[in-house]
Amino acid sequence: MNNNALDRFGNLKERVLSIIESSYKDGVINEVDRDSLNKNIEKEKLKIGVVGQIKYGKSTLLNAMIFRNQILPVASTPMTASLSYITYGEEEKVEVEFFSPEEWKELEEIARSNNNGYEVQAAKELLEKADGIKGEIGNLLGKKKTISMDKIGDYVGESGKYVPICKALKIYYPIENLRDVEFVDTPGFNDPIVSREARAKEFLSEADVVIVVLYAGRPFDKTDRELMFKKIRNIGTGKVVVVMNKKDTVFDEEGTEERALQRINEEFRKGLEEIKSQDNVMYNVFKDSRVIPLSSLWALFGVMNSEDINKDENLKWYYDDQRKKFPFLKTKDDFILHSGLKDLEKKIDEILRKDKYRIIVNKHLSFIIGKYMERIAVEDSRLSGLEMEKESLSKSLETIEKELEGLNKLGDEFGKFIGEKIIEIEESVKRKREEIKEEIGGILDAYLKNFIVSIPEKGLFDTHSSYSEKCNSIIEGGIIDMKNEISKKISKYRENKIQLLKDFVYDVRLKANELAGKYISYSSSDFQKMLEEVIKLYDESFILPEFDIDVESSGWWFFGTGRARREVVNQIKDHFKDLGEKIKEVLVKLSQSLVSTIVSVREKVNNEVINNIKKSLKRAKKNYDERKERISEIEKEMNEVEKNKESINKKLESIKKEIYMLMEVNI
Amino acid sequence: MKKWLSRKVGNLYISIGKSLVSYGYYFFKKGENLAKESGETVVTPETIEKENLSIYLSRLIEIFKRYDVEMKDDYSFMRLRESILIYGKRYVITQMKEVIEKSDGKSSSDIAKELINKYNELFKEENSQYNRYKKEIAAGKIDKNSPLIYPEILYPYPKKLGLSINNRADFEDAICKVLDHIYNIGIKEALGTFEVNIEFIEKYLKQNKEKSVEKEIKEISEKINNLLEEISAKTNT
Repeated sequence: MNNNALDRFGNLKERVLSIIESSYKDGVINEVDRDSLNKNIEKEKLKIGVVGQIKYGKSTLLNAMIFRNQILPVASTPMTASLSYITYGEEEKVEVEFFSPEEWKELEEIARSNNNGYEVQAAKELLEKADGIKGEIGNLLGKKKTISMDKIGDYVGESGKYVPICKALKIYYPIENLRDVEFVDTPGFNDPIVSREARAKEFLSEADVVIVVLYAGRPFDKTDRELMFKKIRNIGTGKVVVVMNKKDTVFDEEGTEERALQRINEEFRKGLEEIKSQDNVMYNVFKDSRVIPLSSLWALFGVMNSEDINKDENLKWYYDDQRKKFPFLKTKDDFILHSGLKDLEKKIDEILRKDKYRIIVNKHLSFIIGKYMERIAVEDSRLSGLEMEKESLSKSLETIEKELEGLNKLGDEFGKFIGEKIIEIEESVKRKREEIKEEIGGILDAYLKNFIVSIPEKGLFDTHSSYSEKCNSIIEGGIIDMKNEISKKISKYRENKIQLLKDFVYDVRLKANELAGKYISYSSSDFQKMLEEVIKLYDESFILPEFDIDVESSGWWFFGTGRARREVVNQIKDHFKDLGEKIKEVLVKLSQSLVSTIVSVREKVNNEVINNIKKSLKRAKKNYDERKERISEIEKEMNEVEKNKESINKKLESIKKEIYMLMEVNI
Repeated sequence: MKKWLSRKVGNLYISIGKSLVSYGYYFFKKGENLAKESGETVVTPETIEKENLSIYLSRLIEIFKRYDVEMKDDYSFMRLRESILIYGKRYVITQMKEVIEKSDGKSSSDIAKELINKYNELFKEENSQYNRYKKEIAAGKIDKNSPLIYPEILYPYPKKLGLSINNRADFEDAICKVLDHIYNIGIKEALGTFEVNIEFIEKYLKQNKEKSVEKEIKEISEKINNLLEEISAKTNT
């Protein structure tokens, strides 16, 4: 079987590496850059998260997708072992990480608490299970242990004795497929250990693809929903693949593939509608997902060697049984075809193509392209310098000296001008920042006041849900209006900053023209040309950061007669505080990037324009006595530089073409 | 009356029951929130940093001290950048000055050779301040009253240097790399002012034009004094 997404990712990395190597050979990047780029690319891994309840066939799916054999024991990923990493290792081994003593204490505290939350129940359950290893716990907490694959059941299996204290395990396996990929299985839900839960969430938010495994017989049941609300809330849309596993079991009942698929889809849509009424964020994560019916068991049979199947009595029984039940499963290819594995891989590939591949190529190659362009800019500036020296040599020595003197004055005055401009802009940015902070503060205050006034007391006969609904409708609508109003203000502020930058660039141009006219004569046009090259970069590449003032509200929940209103008001106040902080952050970021940009203009103009021209004039002055020879030398040099520039340009074009091919044709 | 009373008592029980459920739910949610709050302390730092990619400027206090820059607001970082650039220049100039100052009794061609060596040495020298900045940031204390800075403050250098900033550690590392880069710009800028002189000293040495060599040395010496004056004027303001 060809593992599309994983193979393609590996190929892509190889080609990017080869481009890096060739630019090193061309001398465009140095050894340090090459090594660090290579290291970064080696580090680039696909992160694929798998989420789903126990016994939904996740282990079988991973066995089919990664190992192409039955490597992970079935039920090796029960709900209690929250995280299983599967990654490449030179040798097969499993690293087990136990909870730290602090985490264990935290668990004991949770178990002692009086409420009946899921976490408390789960904590109690873990502690009960840990009774059997009471004597060993002290020695194991906070430690790591390497075990062999056949012992994995003790740590993650359903009745494994170390399961209660096992925090995470990392399975290292020496197959090529895993070199560029890291799978994480996060089956746990209602995890009593907050750090473990946080780690799972963190991974999922970083994951490139998240596969949500549902059971075709019971999709979106209560536990599925619990699991999703907890784990998938933050991962964002566009990278979730939903599979309905064990479609073979539905076939059993329904008889035909068509009817089974129809039922799966109906169940999925039904579940989705229910989610919509409960949680809009979650609904958005799933709404564009197309459910993929899957049988990981068939997939495994399709990819496994017949010999290996025959070796295992259990597997062999299932294999024969499936072939008997489903006459269309004759060959191994039939198993793969009907399993849905290809569809899953296609979907993963589609998601990666949209984002990950582009990032891999752009992130590393844009640096190299930048270096090529820098080289071209260096050659250009050498060319301008030589041209200027040549032109100077046709003037009198006195004129050159006068020009140099003028340039010194120009440099001084220009430096002073930019320095003053920076202070002026800083002041104006500071002032404007305060102004807009006040304006937005006013908006926030007004809305907050309005909310506080509008939130009614909870009436004696109000039910909790009717009171919550009432408050929600007041708050949600108002908050949307307020965020729109604030967004408009910030947009205007951002536009104002962009305008400020454009004005600055315009002023720099104007001043440069004025000073060039005043102090220098024949090098004036070159000065303006070089300055334009520097300023152009700011016109083209400068983008002030976009802002996002969305502060996620965890939903408004209201309760308790008498206390209800106070709780509502407190929650709104908290939300406004977060919002205020976020807005402040956006404003600071905008002003910091603006001022930083302007400061860098001064560094660039000094280095790349004024000093360059000065050097050419000084050379002309010193070469003046032998000007005839020097002119012919300059012409030769200019030819060489032109050739050089042409060859760099050619290489740059070929790299750009290669990138295009990587992105559009081969992926 | 009896009926009315039992209905009232019944309603009272219902409302007590309702309240108990409400308070039960209240405490359950409160507990859940407390658990969440206590959880925040256990979450790995990266998770928090990711949400808020900023650092307090006070983390850079040691660097500020070294470059003699006062830390007033977030724009002080720009002053620091400028100061570092000047320190880069000053490093080159003082090194070249040392050669000239130690030249008593030496022939002009010897001084010239020493200047060329020094220039080439400085050109090739790894002037990295990176590790020092790293240590200085690590030693910097967090003062929550100091302004916050964001990666935007480094614009446009991270892009130019191919740095990606995903968490606070990356951001601190990028600060060290960018400041080091600016220090080296200062060095290159200062070396640039001597480039033509050095080029011609080499040429005149080959041609044995002793007077011309002397003239170049004199010019370098003048430049050193002018630049030092310029720098001290800038650092005083």
